[in-house]
Formats: sequence, structure tokens, C-alpha cells
Amino acid sequence: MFHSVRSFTAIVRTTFVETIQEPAALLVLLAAVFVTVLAPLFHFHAFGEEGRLARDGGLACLLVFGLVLCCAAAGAAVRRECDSGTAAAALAKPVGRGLFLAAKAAGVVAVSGLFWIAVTAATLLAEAAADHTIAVGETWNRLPDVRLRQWSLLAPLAALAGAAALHNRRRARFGVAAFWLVPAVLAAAAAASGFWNHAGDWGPYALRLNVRLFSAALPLFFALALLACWSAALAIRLPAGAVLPAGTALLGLGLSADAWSAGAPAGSCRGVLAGLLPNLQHYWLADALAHGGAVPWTYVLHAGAHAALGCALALAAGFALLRRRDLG
Amino acid sequence: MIPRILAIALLAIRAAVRSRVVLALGALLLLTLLGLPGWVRGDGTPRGAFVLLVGHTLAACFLLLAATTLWAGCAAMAAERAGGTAVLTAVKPVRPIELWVGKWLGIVVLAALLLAAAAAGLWLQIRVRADELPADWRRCHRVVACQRPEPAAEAERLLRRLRDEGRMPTDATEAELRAGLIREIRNRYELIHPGESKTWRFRIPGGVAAAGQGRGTAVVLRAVFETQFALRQEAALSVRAEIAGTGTEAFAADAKAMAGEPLALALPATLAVPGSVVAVTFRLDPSARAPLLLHPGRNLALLFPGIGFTANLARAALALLAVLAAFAACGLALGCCFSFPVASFAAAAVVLLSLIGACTGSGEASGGGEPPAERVGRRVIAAGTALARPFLDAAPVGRLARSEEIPARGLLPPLAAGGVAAPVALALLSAFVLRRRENGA
Amino acid sequence: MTPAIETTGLRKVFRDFWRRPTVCAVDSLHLAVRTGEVFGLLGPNGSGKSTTIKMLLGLLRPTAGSISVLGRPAADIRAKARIGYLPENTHLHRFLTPRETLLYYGSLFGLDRRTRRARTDELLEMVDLAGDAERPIGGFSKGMARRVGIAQALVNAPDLLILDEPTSGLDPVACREVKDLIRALAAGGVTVLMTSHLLADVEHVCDRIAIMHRGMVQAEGAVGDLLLRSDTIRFLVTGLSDAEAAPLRDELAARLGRKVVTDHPAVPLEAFFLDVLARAAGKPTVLTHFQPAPFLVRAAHRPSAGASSVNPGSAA
Repeated sequence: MFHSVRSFTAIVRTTFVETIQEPAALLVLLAAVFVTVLAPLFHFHAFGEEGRLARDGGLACLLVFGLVLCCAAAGAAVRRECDSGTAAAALAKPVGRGLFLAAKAAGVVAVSGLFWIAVTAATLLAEAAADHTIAVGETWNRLPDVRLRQWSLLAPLAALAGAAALHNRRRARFGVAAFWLVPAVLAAAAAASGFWNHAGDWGPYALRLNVRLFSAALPLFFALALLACWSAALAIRLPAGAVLPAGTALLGLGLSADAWSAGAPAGSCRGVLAGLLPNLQHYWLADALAHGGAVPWTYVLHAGAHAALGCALALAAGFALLRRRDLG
Repeated sequence: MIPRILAIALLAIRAAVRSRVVLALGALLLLTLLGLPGWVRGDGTPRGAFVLLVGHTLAACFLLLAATTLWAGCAAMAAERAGGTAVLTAVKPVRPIELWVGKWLGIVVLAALLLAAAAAGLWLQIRVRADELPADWRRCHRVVACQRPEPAAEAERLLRRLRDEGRMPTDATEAELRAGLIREIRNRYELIHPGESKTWRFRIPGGVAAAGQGRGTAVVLRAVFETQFALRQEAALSVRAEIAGTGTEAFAADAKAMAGEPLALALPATLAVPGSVVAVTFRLDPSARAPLLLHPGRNLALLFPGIGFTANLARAALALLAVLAAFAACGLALGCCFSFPVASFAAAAVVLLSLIGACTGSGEASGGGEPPAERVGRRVIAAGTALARPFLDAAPVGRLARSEEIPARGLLPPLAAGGVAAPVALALLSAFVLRRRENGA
Repeated sequence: MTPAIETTGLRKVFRDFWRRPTVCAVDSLHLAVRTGEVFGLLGPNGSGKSTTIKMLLGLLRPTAGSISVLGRPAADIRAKARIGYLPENTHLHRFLTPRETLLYYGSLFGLDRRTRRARTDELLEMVDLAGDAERPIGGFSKGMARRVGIAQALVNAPDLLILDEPTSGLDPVACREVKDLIRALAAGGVTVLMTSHLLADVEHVCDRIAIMHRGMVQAEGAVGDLLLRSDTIRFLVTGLSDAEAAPLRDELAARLGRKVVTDHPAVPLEAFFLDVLARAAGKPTVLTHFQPAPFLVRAAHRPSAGASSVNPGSAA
């Protein structure tokens, strides 16, 4: 048992490091962060609520860029190992195939977790920095928080500079260091935003971030975990390049599940498919945050349990495929 | 040199065909050609069906091809390097630029074949569904726009007048004023008040007249009037046309124009004298309730019989091929500089920025006081739009969908840009990078 | 005569992203490979052999020093046209067949169609892949892919052949054929530079060798001269039993006043292996009289009839 835990942890750690050291993973992370932070600059429409564009845009970036990251990472982690023979080398040790697959998926989910932290922090910053109506003297104006906006843009750059310094001084891998530092610095910037108000005046600490966002962002993490597990399962049979399109199709089907599966009889093909494929509409809850709303934590817990079951189903399917696959 | 380039091109084609990418792409194109018109509902009119079939379907196929060509370019170089096969090529007597040109040629040939197949599929669909389409779909129109003052010259004239009259605004620089005036002149609508006449002139180019007279088909005057506040109203107009300077009226008729709907009047072919200037005068009936607005640049034109739809489709395909050639060059350059995942990511960014640039237009400034980030963004878009100007101006898909003839001369800028300028520039850059790059380190 | 390869003070330092030196792979290398000789470059892993070869081929840029290959700088196109290269790991296009591969590389050398086709047929025959010429290389074993690699290195009838671990992945029969090929090419005036970890192969094939360690040449010279034990004499007598030899040994030892050692020399493992295979196949030898492809045999240096393929280095 202990040996299995150690093997599991070792594979998770290796998968995690292998994934985040890829330049493409860092690029996806930075793209998601910058799009989230920069989108509110083009403030063509307020959508009826201050900061809504920033919030909804950030959550959308979390889902879309997260999909790209998870599917590409799972495809590379599983398929590449199977093709290159390193999977055979690992499974020649006392490591079961099921444990191997589960650990691979867990490694990708861990990467998604770090990605989730970064983009959620960026979303909090973008929403807080967006145009708000504030009193300026005797008039009211819609103004952005310029200092927070600057910090939001500088934070990822500072993280990259830090990673470069670590690479220079301690020969740490740049990609790995950057992937850790970007979420950390963004989270620190978000936490530090409480030291000044929207008008830019310094004062006692007062958290002004929209913490309700977590109740909508967490289900998206569950969705990414689901996609990661399904991608890992599909990667056993599909080429690495086909996993992302397959994941995209899963996302599309998942987000439109209510449309194509509505009213489907339980025993029909549509009904069976609706039961097996994840209904990702349960995880997209951006609208629930509108006008001061929040997602109940019981719902979030249920979504977590639903996602856990979905992951288990995906991994079980993957194990069934891997059992019969010739390796090496 | 040529045999080496051809050998490398053939290898690139073989690699794509045997990797099943071409098969998958062909299947996707077929799905798009057949599925899109079946899935997307038109507006129920024959013209709407034509626009859907020709415009949207061809645009979707082109988008697919553009993205694939870009990524194929990235893979051609980067994947060879990652796979190790680049070493065996690097030790052969092949110059970097020969390698680049060979691969570019291979990708462009493949893209051309797939584009031709998509165009052929579209043509077949149109033939099969001809009864759903407008009766005149087989023939395109050659559009002759009215004469308008050059915006820059007109802006200078207005500035000079303001200066002479001492009415130059003081809260903006002359450059800002000039830019603002040019923008305003380009977007200016002309007003025709009730009882008022306005005349526009059209210079008849040479080749047009021969085609029009030879076919005995009337010249069509097309105008789309609008009203203030976009009111839907019908207005009575009288329309006169003559060859300027002759004093002889060749055409006179009364017409009813519905705001927002095209007004099409058949003019006699005798007006189509090469080199002549045709003056068309609109007079709004005094009983009209509101003035009519007309944008002469966009909504006023003489339509002459042009080439057939098939020939126009071929020209559109040629213009699109120029864009694909530019994308192939871009992808290859990215593949020379970066690894495949990074190059793919950069290629995706190029595709997205191209789409954004095509949608947002020229990136002209909205006025003073915009934040620095927005200013930078607009300048980036403006730079990208300037680079893409030869392709945007050709607008092949839009013209094909509007049954407008794509002028043969109008193909030269995109072909020169996509077939020569972009590949040459990127080939030189890539060759420089390849020479500096170490293989097998 | 100008050496086929000449390096003076060759140095290669690999740097990291910040331009700081990390590894000095080759340091002050002075090398001269004469035209028409077989030169072996030996050394443990990480000694700089492959780095040296890559610099000779223009794949890597030297940090310092000069290189002359066939009288021209390393990356010169005209030099590359006369070089054949077999890398340690042969990465070929998996979707191509051997025939297509050779035709492709032949076109890169500017060969006309007739010459390309003729040479492709001859090379496929020589590497015993004529029957698999139309199969995609993606389905080949490592040894079969290696044969294709050898063939592509010869398609231009090179004046200089650079082989990095040429027998890697090959079975003993194929190894022997490669060695025979190298000797036949050298007899035709082709200069061969090879690296190998299989020292027995190098010993039997190379005229001169250089041993590298930590980027520097530690020993260089003709194989015979380097390995010669001039202080020891060996007598070889056939048809003598142990009982007959013992008194002779003792007498010699007494006369010389030194220790005299006698033993039975061993047949090289390669020769024994080939002999076993031949007997199992019911043939006199498993190797038929190996002939390189006709276009590789230089007219002025054709081997005489009846040349043997027996290993000249055997102790028999």
C-alpha cells in the first residue's frame, strides 16, 4: 500500500514537472492571464454591471485555455510515453496500469490546479481594476483602478523576471520556475490590492476583491479535471494531436448538452450519451454571480462529487483500454 | 537548384499526404461544403441563399485551409528538427533558402489543390441548387464607382479654407485635424433634400464598354438610399443620365426608392462610351417627407456586365491562394525560429489577430485621451491591417457573394504580396536563422 | 598532398542561455586525416567525438580554431557535395520507402534521374534491402533502418565518408559486410573517418586512430604502431601438441634466461560466429564474396579477382 502511494506520488510529480517545463504550457498560462487582464481595457460595453466583462471573460479564459492545456498535456503525458517506450519502462516496475493512468491524470489535474490559481487571481484583479463608478470630488465618474491595472500587467512580467533570475543564479528550469511564480505573484498582487481603494488612496487593509468568484471558479476547476481525465483516457488510443480536437468536441457537447439531450428517452442513444458524457453546463455558473449573486457552497460540493464520479468513470474506461494495449 | 527545390517540395507533399492530414482536411472541407449550407439557415431569399452558399461556405473552407496551411508550415520545419531528420538534410549540399523555398512550394501546391477542390465542390453545389438562387447568378457585374474627390486632397482644401478664413480650431494639431477630416470625408453621406437635385459622375473605363455593347445588355445603375434615423420610407425620385458635356439626355425615368433597399435601373448601352463621363442626376420629389442619405463610395455604382461566375470564382480562388501562400511563408518562418509547440501557439495567435484585424478595420484612433494601452493596441492593429491591406482590398469572397467582378488588375497586389513579397522577406529571414542555428547540438 | 580533413586548434564550448560556458566539449584539437586512409576516432562517451564530427560537417560552429574539409571550410556546399555521412542515430522519414529515400537524397546531390535510379538499385542490392524497397521505413527494424542509412551515405559516391558508429544496431554478418565495404572503399581511394565503441572493429579496419578524452586527443597514430609491443616476440607454430611444446619452451627459457609463455591462440569471436552460422546453413561461408555497388568501385582501384573476405586481422 505504502509502496503504491510512493509510486503514485512519484509518477504524479514527474508528470507535473514534465508538463510545466514545456514552453507551450507556459505560453498557454501567460496567454490566459494576459487576455483576462487586458480584455477590460477595451471597455466597449458594460453589460449592465461594473466588472462583468472582466469576470465573465476571465472565467471563459479559464475554461477555454484550460481546455487547451489539459487536453494537450494529457495527450502528451500518456500518448507520448506509450509511443516512446517510457511507459513500458515504468510498467516493467511493480506499477499497475491502473495506478499509472490515474497518476498521469492526477499530474495533469495538478497542473490545471496551478493554472486555475493563476487565472482566478487574474480575474479577481481584472474585475477589481475595471471601471467602477466612484465619487471624484463632487462628481461621479466611471474610472478604472489604474494602479491595480498596472500591477496586474506587471505581476506576470515580474514572475518571468524572477524565473529568469532563478535560471541565471541557480540554473533552475525557467519554465518550471515561471509556472510556479506566475500564480504566486498574481495571488500576492490580488491580496495586496486591499491596501488602497479604487480611487488610488492608500489606507488600512480592506479586501475589495469579489470573493464570490471562487464559488463559480471552483466548478470550472472540476470541469478541467473531468476534461483532463477524459483526455488521458482517450490518449491511450488516439494520436497526441487528435486529443485536443476530441477534448474540444467533448467541451462543445458538454456545454450544449441541454440542447441535444433534452427529452431523450433513457434507453436511447442520446440518453445513454447524455448519461455518460459530462454535462459541462452544470459547471458554467458565471451568470449566477451577476448583480451580487453567488453560487451556494452545497452546489459546489455536489459539483465536486459529480466531477469525481465523472473522473472515476473516465479513468475506468481508460484502464479498460490500457489493459489490452501492447506497450513497447 | 531547381531539381533540389522540386525534390524537397515533393517530399513535403508526400509527408502531408501520407500522414493522413490531407485526408482529414479533405473530410472536414467536404463536411463544411455540404454541412454548412444545410445547417445554417439563410434569410429565405434567393440572394440570401446565394450569399450563404458562396460567401459563408467559401469563407469557412478558406478559414480551415488557412489555419491548416499555417500549422503545416510550422510543422514542416520544426517537426523535422525535433524528429532528427533535419540533420541528414543539413549535411547535404542544400542551401537553407533552397530548403525553405522547396517546403513553401510543396505546401502552396497542396493548398492550391485543396482550394481548387473546395472551389470545384462549391461550383457543383451551385449548379445543383441553381433553382434556389437568383436568376442572374451566372454573370457577375463589373462595378464602376462614381468619381469622388480624393480624401487627402479634399481635406487639404478644407484646411486651407479654414486657415484663410482664420477659423482653424486651436484644441487639436493640424495633423489630428487632417486625420479627422479624412476620416469624415471617407464616411460622409450626401443629403438630397426634397425638391433638390444632386449629380454624380462616372468615368467609363475602356474594357467595360466593349463587353457591355457586345452583349447588348443594359448598364445598371444601383443606388441604396437611407434616411435619417433609419426610417423605412419610400421616396419618389426622378433620375436623369447623360454623357457629360453633350447636353443630350440619354435616360430619364421616375422611380420609387425604398430606404435601405437597392434601387436598380437599367440604363441604355449607348451610355457606355469608353473614356466618357456619365453624369447621373437624382432629384427628390418635393413632396418627400424627409431628405435621403446616400453614401456615394459604398452605395452608388454603375454595373456593367462582367465575366461569368466560373471565371470570377477562379479569380477569387487565386486571390485566396495568395493569402494561403503568405500564411505558408509565415508558418515556415515560425517553424524555423521556434519549436513546434511554440510555433503552433504563435501561429494560432497570428490567425486570431488576423481575424480581429479584419473585423475591427483600420485601427484608427477614436480621438484624444485614450489610455496608452489602447493606443498601443490600435497601433498594432493598424500595422497589421497595413500589412494585410493588399489582401483585404481584394476582398474576393465578399465580391463573389455580391456577384461583383473581381478585377484582373486587382489580383496583382495580393499575388505580389502573398506570392512574392511575403515569401521573399520571410525566406531571407528564415535562411538567416537557419544559417545561425546549430543542428544536432 | 592536402589532407582530406585538417583541424587546427579546434575548440567547442557549449553555452547556456546567458552565454556562460557550461561544457568544453572539444579543446585544442589538431587533427589531420590523409586522403585515402581509414581513420578511427575513439573515446569514451562525452569525449567529444560526435561534437568533432558535427563541426566537420558544419552542423555546429566552432568556438575557436579552423577546419578544412576536402580543402574547403566546413559548411561549404561544394565540400558537402563530396561527403557521405552516417549519423549515430539514423532518423529517416518514416513515411518514405527505402527507394524513395535514396532517390530523394540523390536529388539533393543533383544527380540526374538515370544515375539516381541506377545507384538506388545498386545500393539496395548491396545492403540487402532490394526485397523491402517498397515498404515504408516506419515498419523497419533498427538494423534495417541502419542499412538504409548506410545506403544514403553512399548515394553520391563520396570522396569522404564520415561514419558515426557504423555497426551500431547491426548483426555480426552485417557488421562484417560494413567492414568489408569500408576496406573496399578505402582501396578505391575514399577517405573514411569513423567512430566506434567496438574497438575490435576499429582495430581491423582503421589505418590510423586518435583517442579522445575530455575533448583532447590523448594518443594518435597508425594502429599497428600504437599497438605494437616491440619488446615482445611471438612465435606461431601449427601442428604442435602440448607435450611437444613443453620441452621446447623450457629449453628456450633456459637459453634466454627469461620466462617464456606458450598458449593456444583463440579464434576471434566474429570468425567463430560466422563459421557456426555457415555450418548451420550448410554453406562453406555465410558471407558470399561481398562486392560493393559497382558505382562505388573506382576504376583505377578495382580489387583483383578472388579477393578474400576473410578477416585479415584474425590470429589464425
